[in-house]
Amino acid sequence: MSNPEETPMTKRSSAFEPSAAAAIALWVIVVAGLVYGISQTVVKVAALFN
Amino acid sequence: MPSILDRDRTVAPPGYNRWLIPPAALAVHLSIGQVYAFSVFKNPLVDHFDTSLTPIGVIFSIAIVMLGLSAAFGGTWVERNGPRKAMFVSMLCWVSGFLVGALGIATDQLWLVYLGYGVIGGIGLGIGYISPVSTLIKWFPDRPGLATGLAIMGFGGGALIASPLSTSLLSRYAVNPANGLVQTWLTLAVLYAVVMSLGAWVVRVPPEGWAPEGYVPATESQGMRTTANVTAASAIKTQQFWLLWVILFCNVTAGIGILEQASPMIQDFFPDVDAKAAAGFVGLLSLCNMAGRFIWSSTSDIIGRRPIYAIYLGVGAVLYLVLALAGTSSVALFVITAGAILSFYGGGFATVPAYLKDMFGGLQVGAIHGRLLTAWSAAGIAGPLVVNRIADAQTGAGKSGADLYALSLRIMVGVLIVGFIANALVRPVDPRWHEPAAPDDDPAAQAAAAKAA
Repeated sequence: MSNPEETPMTKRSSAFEPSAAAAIALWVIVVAGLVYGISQTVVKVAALFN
Repeated sequence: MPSILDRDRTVAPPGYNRWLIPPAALAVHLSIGQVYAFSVFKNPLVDHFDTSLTPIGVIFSIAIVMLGLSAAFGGTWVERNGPRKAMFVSMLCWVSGFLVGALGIATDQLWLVYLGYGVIGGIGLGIGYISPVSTLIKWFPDRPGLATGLAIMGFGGGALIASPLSTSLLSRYAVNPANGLVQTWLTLAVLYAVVMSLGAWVVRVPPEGWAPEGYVPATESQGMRTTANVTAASAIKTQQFWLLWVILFCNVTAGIGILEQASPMIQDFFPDVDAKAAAGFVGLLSLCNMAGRFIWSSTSDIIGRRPIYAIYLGVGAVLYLVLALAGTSSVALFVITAGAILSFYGGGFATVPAYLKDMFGGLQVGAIHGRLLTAWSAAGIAGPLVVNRIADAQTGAGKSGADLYALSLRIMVGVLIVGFIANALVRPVDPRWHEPAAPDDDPAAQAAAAKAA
């Protein structure tokens, strides 16, 4: 018996489902980018208070 | 021909974790946010083309104008085709902009840089900016301010990453930065192609009728929050759209006036502040701009959209007055006040999609948002024009230091008061503009419709 919640649409999209790992990896990339940008900026900000 | 970029190929399976969506939006916004770091390339481009600052400044202006135009005219296309195709097209345009621009630099053809980074890249900016907005609102109907704040924070954060990265690349590729432009732009093109493609791959739209667990959608409009839907074509005929246009215009004009002049302004107010410390001030404003996008927009989910804009505009006007009357009294007061103003500037950008969703429903919120961004283009011209023209006129009149800005700061107080009044005039949209209660892709509306059925 087929799953009543599984429509042709969701079946099709499942074929191209990225693993959660891909999205988590992207989280890591964007957070690392932000940490890099913020840390570089904080170094510049420190000059304001010296 | 069906494509993996089509909207119906991006529908998430049941049980998909909605927290896997924000990194896709952030990937796109962090990439296109590079445009705010364009100033890093200004002097190397001036050296390379052996020209003045004005023709080089035109590159950035074209990109921002194209951002507004493509967001306005491409909004409906983005809604129809879904976030993955929109993000992919944005990536193609943004990356092509760098490639064509690099070709222009390599062949000494400035017009190719206008066409590449300015026109083609600018289209990528506009499409990319609006591409994740309605998708995030659909995934987070309970916290739309938080969701859009998170994504639009990325646009502010993009410059924080691109600025030191570009400086580092320029110095790595050549002793004279002007000789490292082509390699730097090609490197950025590859980097953004990878990150934005990952975003397009990961993004998903929720299945029809989906709602977060435990979320009970409102079945009837509550105060300023409607459960009805208004199309983009109808929205621009309403008073509410134009009031929101004025609000965004006033908020951006006031913020950009400081942002654009931050470095010379603090040195004019305080002659002891040197160029290095002024660069630190610019960095601090960027951080406040970015943080305000997330913090204030998330707060709007709790206190409401109109009250938060009353703070941006009302408190913002008071802070501008403090700068005008007591800005020279201490560096700390100046820095804290300007930082708060810039946080409101960022908050205004990030909260507006949720405000639009409250007023017009989720049906075409991305397309309506795109049309509203023309206020940004207009403010991008008005804000710097007011501050620069007045400063030039005051210099001509023999004034110097903080006196150069006294009048423009008072004008900004007036601009913010106009925005405050416009915000106070916002009322729910007249029901004659509402779409008939047909099923749509707004989960709240669908859940309400299902319950009613």
